[in-house]
Amino acid sequence: MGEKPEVWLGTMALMALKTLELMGPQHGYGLARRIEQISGDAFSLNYGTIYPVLLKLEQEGSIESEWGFSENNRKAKFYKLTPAGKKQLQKEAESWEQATQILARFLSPAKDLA
Amino acid sequence: MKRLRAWSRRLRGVFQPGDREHEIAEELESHLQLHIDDNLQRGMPSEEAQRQALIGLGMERTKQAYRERSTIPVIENFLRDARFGLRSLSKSPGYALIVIFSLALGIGATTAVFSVIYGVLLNPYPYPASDRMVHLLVQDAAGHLVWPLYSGSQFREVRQASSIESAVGYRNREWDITGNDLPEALTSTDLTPNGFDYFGVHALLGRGLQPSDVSPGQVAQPVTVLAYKFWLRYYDGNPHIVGKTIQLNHANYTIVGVAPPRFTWGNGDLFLPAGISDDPAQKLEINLRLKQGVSIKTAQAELGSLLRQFAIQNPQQFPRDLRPHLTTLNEVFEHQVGPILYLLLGAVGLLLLIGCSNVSILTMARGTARKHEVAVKSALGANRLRLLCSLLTESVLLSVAGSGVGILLAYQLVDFIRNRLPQSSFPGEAVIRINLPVLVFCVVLSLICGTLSGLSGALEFSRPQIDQVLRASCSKVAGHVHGKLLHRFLIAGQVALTVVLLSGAGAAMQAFLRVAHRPLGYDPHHVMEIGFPIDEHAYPTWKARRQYLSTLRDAVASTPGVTGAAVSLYATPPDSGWDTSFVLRGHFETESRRISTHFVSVAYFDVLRMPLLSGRLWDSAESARGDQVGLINQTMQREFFRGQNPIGQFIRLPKIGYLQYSLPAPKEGDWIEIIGVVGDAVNDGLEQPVKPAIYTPFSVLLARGTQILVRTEGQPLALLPAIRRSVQKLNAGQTTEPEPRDLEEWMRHQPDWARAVLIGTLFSGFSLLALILAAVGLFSVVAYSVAQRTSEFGVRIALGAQHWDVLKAVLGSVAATIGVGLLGGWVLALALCQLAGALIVMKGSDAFVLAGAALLLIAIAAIACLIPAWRATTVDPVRALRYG
Repeated sequence: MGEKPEVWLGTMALMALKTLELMGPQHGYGLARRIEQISGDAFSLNYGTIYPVLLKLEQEGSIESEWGFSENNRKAKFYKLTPAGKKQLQKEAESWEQATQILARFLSPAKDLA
Repeated sequence: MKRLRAWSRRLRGVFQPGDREHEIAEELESHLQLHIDDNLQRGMPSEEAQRQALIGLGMERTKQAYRERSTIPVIENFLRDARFGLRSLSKSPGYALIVIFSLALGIGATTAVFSVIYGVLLNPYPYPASDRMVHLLVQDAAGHLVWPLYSGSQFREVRQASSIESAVGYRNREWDITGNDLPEALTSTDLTPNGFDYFGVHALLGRGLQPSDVSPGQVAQPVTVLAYKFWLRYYDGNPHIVGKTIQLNHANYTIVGVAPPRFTWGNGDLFLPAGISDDPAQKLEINLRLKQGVSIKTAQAELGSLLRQFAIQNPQQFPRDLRPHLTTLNEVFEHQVGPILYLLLGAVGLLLLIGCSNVSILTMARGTARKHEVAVKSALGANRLRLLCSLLTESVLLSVAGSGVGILLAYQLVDFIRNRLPQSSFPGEAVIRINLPVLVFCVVLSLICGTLSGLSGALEFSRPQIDQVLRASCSKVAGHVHGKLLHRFLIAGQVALTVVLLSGAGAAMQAFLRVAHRPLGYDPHHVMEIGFPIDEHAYPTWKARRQYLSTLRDAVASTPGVTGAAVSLYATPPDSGWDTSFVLRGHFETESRRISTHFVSVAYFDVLRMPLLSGRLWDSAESARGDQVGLINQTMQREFFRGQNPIGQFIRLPKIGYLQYSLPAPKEGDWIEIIGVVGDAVNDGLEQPVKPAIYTPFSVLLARGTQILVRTEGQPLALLPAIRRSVQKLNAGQTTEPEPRDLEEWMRHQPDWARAVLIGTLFSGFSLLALILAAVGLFSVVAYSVAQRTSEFGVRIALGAQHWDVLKAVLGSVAATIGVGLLGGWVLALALCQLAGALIVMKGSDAFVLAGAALLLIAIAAIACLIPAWRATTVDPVRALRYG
């Protein structure tokens, strides 16, 4: 994965956006944990990978951040989806779905061809 | 859009690094805390909880990744290198200044000279397809060019030729502006009414000339389009001028437009429509545009048969055995200034080369001196790419600064050359200004040069043998220095190029001195020329006009302060005479030789202090009758009367009847008797040899105007008002040409003079700069090698070497290099002088100049080497060995 950082950033960004949509505002640690729980081994190396992704999304205007307090009263930076981010999520989710469908057909073509 | 936004945020990040570092540190800290809390909740012991959290986060890697995301690393690194570069440059301002100066000089000079070449020679005309536009000239049997005038029907026939796309007829005429208090003379350019279309010109105000400006009967309508300069000068650029009238020779002309600034065809003050008729007074010069793909040769062949046909019909109009000659618009100027400008381009090219090699030498010397610094950086973990970048940044900074200064210099230099280039050596349409593509080219070139020389050092030093270099002082033993051979090569090259430039400068100076010190054969001191247009309607006959000219001359001569005055038509030196063919009775009857004809009053020889060598002057009775007598100059005597007595011989000027608007004496066509010989006076410019010439009484040919040469007691121009008053007393309507000339002053405005001064100045300036650059290069190389060998010298001195031995050691290695350079320079200079000699400009490049250049160079080189060499002899052996 480390060999193709941009692709990885893109996948991770989509995961982060989706998670934010499902869970609402969330801090970096929370996001990382959540993604790890769902994806299994996305963070097999380290959690830190999430931060450049968040920075990228913020630079692109898909999310915004604000300092706040966690449930156990730790100071933390919370990320929130922006309207632009919602649109982006929708678009990218769709294109992912399309891509995976097409790929799926390629990888197990038996039904169609038969 | 999204991307753009992200990049702009990152770009902002480059310039605000502080907040960002703080923010990410805080965020990661909070991340750790949250993780530790989680781990504790899961029941881990506190130490293990912290350890796991730290491992899970990967603090430094994350920070680095975050940093790279938040800015643009390339730019950030560059800025850091730039700051460092500036700091280290500010510690050696001498080096920085010399590099900037070297590059700036190269860029500035090359750009300026090329811009001038581009403006004057490559692209002077704003007309469409100007490369296909040609003048229709003819060559006589001796190869002299003649600018014939064609009749209307001839123009029509030429226009029909199949190799021709279109044609325009034009001529110049002299007028007086009348109807004002002060009459003023002006020149019109008459164009066939297709003129503005032909030249693709759109009027600045109003309209241009159009076909309806000439009636179907080929009568020109009284309309005019003003030339831009005249409009500015005479009407003060009045924007509402269209529709007003101007009175020329007592007739009203409606101003229908103003021509754009670069439309100066014919150099007239205004444009008038010209009918295409066979009236002999309305003959035209012809300019053609060839069809695309038609070569000059093809067109010449076609037009040749046409012209020969014309010559059969009108044998008087053309020289015998004519050959058609089509010249491109710029041919004249290419001959005149082309060689000089290309020579200058060569010179500045050399300067650019010397500058670049200087930069290389200095940069390499400096790079070697910085080995230590690079080794330290490398030891601290800088990778090779980063090292390269940081070394290169400095070169790039210098190149940019050099380019900036170079651009400024280029603008200055273009102004300098433009102001000194003689007016007549480039077409009026030409615009000399900085040529942007060339500027960009030179700047890019110097950036590349600066970068490359930086790179050559950087590549070497970015791979330092750390251990060796760090044990610094040990490596400074007897001069084994990397790149020394290259240094020698560059120095030798510089010396060679400098010799070439110096000898070029020497030759240019010689050429100038030759022009400046040439015996003139006349005395221009306290003499001026005033032009008087003559109203042809007031003095329509030969007799009336001759009498008027005599009284006019008398009026001028009687002004207090005037010691002599002479009528002089086509006769003001140093570029005088009407060039025409002649026949010498009993010697040759064909019109193959040419003579420069001067129509003057007898006082001319006195005013100009020209000695009568044999025979006699003509008397007033002969002059009054317009007798066909004449005096020849020495050159004429030498060339055509070898050893014989010319006095009493006869010559004839067959073309004398064909000068326009002129009244020949009643005995036109008669043989002119030679009655005397006068001394040679310069008559073909200051550089060319004197042409064979004849002087006849002015009454032999009376033109529509004349000049009067006036010798005065004091400053001639100061007498102008007084002279004008005495002329007005004689005839209130008599105008004078706008620009009277002080002959001495005018000589300095002669194209050859101005050219010689310009090229002398530029060449000396450039070669002086080259000399300085070469000296600086030499100095720094020697100084650097001395610094490298300090401990060696220390050992030598400690072992008993004398000053002289050390000097010898230092100078020996340089002397050989300089010697090789000198030799190379001589060979190059001699080769170039052959070439330049062929290009007419520098005939005088001889051994003297070469020896002088070499001596000067050796002297400067000796000084440049001796200073650091002397320093080497004063090395204190103890210090050298301890700290060397």
